[in-house]
Amino acid sequence: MLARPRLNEAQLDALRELFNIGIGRAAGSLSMVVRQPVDLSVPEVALHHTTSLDVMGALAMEQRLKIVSQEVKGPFRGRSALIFPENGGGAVVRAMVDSDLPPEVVDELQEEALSELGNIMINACVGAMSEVLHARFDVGLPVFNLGSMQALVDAGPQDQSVLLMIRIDMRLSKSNVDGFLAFMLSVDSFGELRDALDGMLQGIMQSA
Amino acid sequence: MGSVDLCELLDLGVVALDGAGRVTVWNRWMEQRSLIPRAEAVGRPFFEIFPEVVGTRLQIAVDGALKSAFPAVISNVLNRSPLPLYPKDAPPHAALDRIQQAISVVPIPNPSGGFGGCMVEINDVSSAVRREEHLRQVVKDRLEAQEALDQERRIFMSGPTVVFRRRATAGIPIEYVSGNVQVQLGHTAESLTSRHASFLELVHPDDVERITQALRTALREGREDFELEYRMQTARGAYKWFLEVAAVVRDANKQVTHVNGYVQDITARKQAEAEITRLAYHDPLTGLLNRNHVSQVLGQEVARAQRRGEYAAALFIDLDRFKSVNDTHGHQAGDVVLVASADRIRLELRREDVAARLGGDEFLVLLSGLGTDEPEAGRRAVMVAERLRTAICTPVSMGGIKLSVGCSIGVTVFPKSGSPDADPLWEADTAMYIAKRRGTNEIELYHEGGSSDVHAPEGELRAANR
Repeated sequence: MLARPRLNEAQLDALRELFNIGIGRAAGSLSMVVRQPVDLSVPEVALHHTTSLDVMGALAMEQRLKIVSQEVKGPFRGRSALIFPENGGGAVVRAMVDSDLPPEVVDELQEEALSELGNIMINACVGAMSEVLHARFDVGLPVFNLGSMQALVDAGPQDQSVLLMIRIDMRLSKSNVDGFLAFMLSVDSFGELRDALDGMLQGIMQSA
Repeated sequence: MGSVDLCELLDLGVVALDGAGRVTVWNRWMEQRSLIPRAEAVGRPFFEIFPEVVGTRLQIAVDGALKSAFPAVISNVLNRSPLPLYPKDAPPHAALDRIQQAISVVPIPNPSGGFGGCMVEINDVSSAVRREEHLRQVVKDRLEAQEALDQERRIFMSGPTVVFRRRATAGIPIEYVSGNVQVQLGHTAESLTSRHASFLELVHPDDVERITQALRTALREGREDFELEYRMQTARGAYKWFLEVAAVVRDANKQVTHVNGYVQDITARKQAEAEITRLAYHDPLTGLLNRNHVSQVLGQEVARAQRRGEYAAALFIDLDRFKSVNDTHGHQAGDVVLVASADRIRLELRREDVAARLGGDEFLVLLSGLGTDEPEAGRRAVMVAERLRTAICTPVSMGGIKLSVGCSIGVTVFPKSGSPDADPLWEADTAMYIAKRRGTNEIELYHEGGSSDVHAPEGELRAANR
């Protein structure tokens, strides 16, 4: 069994801070698009091995996740994704478009709506990483899929084995929906991310 | 050159911007939808051509692509028609809606590495939006229809009317019954229809003969619809009254195959009717039959006695000293005496005998089945009269005081062999009158001729000959 990929407390704090910056920007863009206050927060950041998805519990078991993914290339390579449990995706679309939408219409609209939502959130988070880590990332266009976590992992390059899961708490109108941002990284890329976080922490120490 | 040609062939808008956001490519699709010629667009900043884009999601997306090389999608779902683009070949000056747009913003890689500028790609999704709006309307209509149907169903299911369909074959199996039968009878619809339960299983045994007869009659007379009232047993064993309104269903050969109809719980109505009947037939104070009703009963008793060839008797009872109880102790005491007398009369009688209060302090008792010998019947009737007298004469207690009355009783036996049209009530009344004239607590047996040579002083019947 592989050892669980680890970050020390300071590195995790830095990562959480980084995603808070990105998510904060995404909330701003999203509020503008849906013309209503959108509150996004990051209650949890966790690391997993892609070979032991069961540690994620219910989400790993769920067969019909709604997944918007974008390829990310930069100091580390991998795939980023915004993931909603089956019902969460529909709830978000309703909250963003029209709370009375019948399920048939939600199904019709969700691919486009969730793709744009994923695009906004992933771009904002990668943008924040890019600024804080002083690195440039190339990002692909969003792709929408229905499927399981396993299918998402399988679709990525073979060497991806570290999964960075960022839980996103979304509050729109009267809805409160949990989604996940996921970054799948190779072990090498994970090392690079850790180094980059250390560099960021040193930068803060020096400026302090 | 080749790439420019391909752009012209595309059925989508292609705009390329350089790193400073100035237009470098503006294809024919864009010329046709924006009515801005390429020559006018190329070289100008994109946000100057479309100033309304500033501050929107599209501007953020273009900036993100130019500064960070991030691609973006701008869906039609969340952003309706951000650019002022109109349908191709529209008549000039017509009031037009913008085309519905789905936009991608993609950074353009430099041949030398890195990125420089971006491409804005605009798809016309108007027809998809129209389809989606149509779908929305269809779904909305369907939901409304469903809601209306559900509402009707809820109203029906909570209502008292149970709809059924029975097969008109032996055993009368229930083929369909609405789900609210469970509310009315406690049986589920499925439990009744799955085993083709016989309708008659549910019906009160005393009603089965009557309704099978009524159904046969209805069919024989060629009736298309009919109404029935009967009791059905609930799952808990109690019976409820139902009104059935039903119509027959015939096949091509005019043969009745089914009966369709509905039943409604009329238990409350039946109870009210029973109460009205009780009030109409009974004396409210004593609970005995009232004068009106006992005259009917007397007629039936006369007919029955004649039919059976058995004697019956009428006993006319008039309380003695009742007026003095009323005057001394008040009407309440009078009522106590009347109720006590009625109770004692009831106790002395058999089930088949009848007791009535004729009014005031007068009672009538009808005895039946007194045998085929007239004098013997008279003796037996007088013996009952004596028991009644003893019972009535026993004092009644009321709040520490003893209320005491006597009674005079006139007895007559019917039918009289010589005079079938005789009126037993008149005869008993006459005999009572004779007894009264003689004193208190007297019993008199009526005999033809009317003289009172036969009389019974208190405690003893002296003679009963005629």
